[in-house]
Amino acid sequence: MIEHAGEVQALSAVLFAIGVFGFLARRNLILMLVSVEVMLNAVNLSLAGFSQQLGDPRGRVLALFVIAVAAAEAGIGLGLLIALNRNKPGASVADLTQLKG
Amino acid sequence: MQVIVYAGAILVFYLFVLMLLDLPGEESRPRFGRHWPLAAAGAVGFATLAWLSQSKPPGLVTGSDRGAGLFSFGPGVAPEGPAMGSLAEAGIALFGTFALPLEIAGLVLLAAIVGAVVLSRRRAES
Repeated sequence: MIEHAGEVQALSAVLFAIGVFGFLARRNLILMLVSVEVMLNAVNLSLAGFSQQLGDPRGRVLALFVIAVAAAEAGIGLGLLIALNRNKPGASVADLTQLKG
Repeated sequence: MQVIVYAGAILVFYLFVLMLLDLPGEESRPRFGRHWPLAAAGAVGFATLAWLSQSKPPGLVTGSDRGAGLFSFGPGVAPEGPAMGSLAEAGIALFGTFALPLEIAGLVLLAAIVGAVVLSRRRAES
């Protein structure tokens, strides 16, 4: 299926760069969380690629654990977002200046 | 199991929260912050560092040496043994060697469920 093992890593690096750009440049909290998910899935892709390249199943197992932790992170993050949106509508980080001294 | 957790729960949850937001108000705002060139520079810098992190310096990579680095676009390393069909191997490793981390991951998911319910609960008194 995948002939060149380096292409998987290159795609993973490109996905991680897209995630970094989205997290740093977006001003919407939900889309920042989506960017974090993109970065985590880039790491998952890298782990699966190395696991296939090296013939070691531990990379896939570690990718499954990363998926579990990503699910927990998304649940907690979106719960915080709902609680925040109830008190103060608007999901932009420009609105969250209450701690500014 | 965790793939079902991810695809079935988390992405639907994202869609649910996306529906709660007001998209017309979001469309009127600027999409990126004012510092988006800095963010783009950071992302491109990361990609460049990942590209340069192959084992040989880029000036020395010529011709037949292309297969040495991380991004080897050569013929690729042929995986020995079963190429893709080691799902049973991964499952045995998951429930054999990594049984304790699997239990800890289940505990983390349980804590996340309880935390999400507590955080997004409406307060009764206020």
